[in-house]
Amino acid sequence: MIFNIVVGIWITLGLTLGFAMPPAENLVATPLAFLHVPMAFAMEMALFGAAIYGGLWLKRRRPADDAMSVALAETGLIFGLIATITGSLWAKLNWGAYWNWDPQQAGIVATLLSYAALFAVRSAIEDEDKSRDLWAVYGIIAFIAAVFWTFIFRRLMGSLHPEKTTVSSSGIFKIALWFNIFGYTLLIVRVAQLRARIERASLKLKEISWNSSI
Amino acid sequence: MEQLNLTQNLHAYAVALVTWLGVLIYLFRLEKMTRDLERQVESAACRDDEK
Repeated sequence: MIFNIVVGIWITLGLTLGFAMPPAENLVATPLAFLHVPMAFAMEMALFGAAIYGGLWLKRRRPADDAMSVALAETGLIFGLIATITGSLWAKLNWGAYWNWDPQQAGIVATLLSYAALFAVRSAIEDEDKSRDLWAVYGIIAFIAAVFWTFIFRRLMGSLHPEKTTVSSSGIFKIALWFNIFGYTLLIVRVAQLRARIERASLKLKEISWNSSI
Repeated sequence: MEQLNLTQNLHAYAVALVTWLGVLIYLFRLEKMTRDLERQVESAACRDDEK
């Protein structure tokens, strides 16, 4: 509970900083900047964590690692969706349309779709160990693809998204932005921890009811 | 860069507030769900032991 309160206070302070609307270089100043960018960063962290925990499952065969991997990917997907929606609202203010088929926009859609496919694959396989193995391997490949789609693709193709906003904007913008990035990363870790605990408790409950039925 | 007009600003503030509130509600509801489920597991385990 204390972790929740710390995270809550942190993102509330972050929102307040965002409401002051410090200017970003080459972009319209709006509080949406302090949701869109931090959530996209937090999504990348979560997907990275999902790949790491997937690797740990392959190595240690502990269901808790698999549960954490799923929880991080799921939370990353939710944050990615919010980042996409807030990003398209900001795109309307910056470039006149909600969707411009910019390489960065196409890249995040490709990333979200590949993780949606990952969840579909997982739910389609009945054998638990096999589904966890496939999840872990595909999760590592999907993260590498996500890095390509969200960091490399836009640099290869040229993008409306300015290159160095996070480093070349005013000092106050950078403070507000990194404050929020840290806050949303804490949030995603907390949400994933809770989702993993739910997954583990559900498994335990299933196991108990199975034992008492035989 | 150009400044936003009042309506655009209000719209952006409203979206930011709703997202922030939604995220906080989700976090605290998730905490409650987790605790409830873990309590269920504990009581189911106790019942199982008694058997």
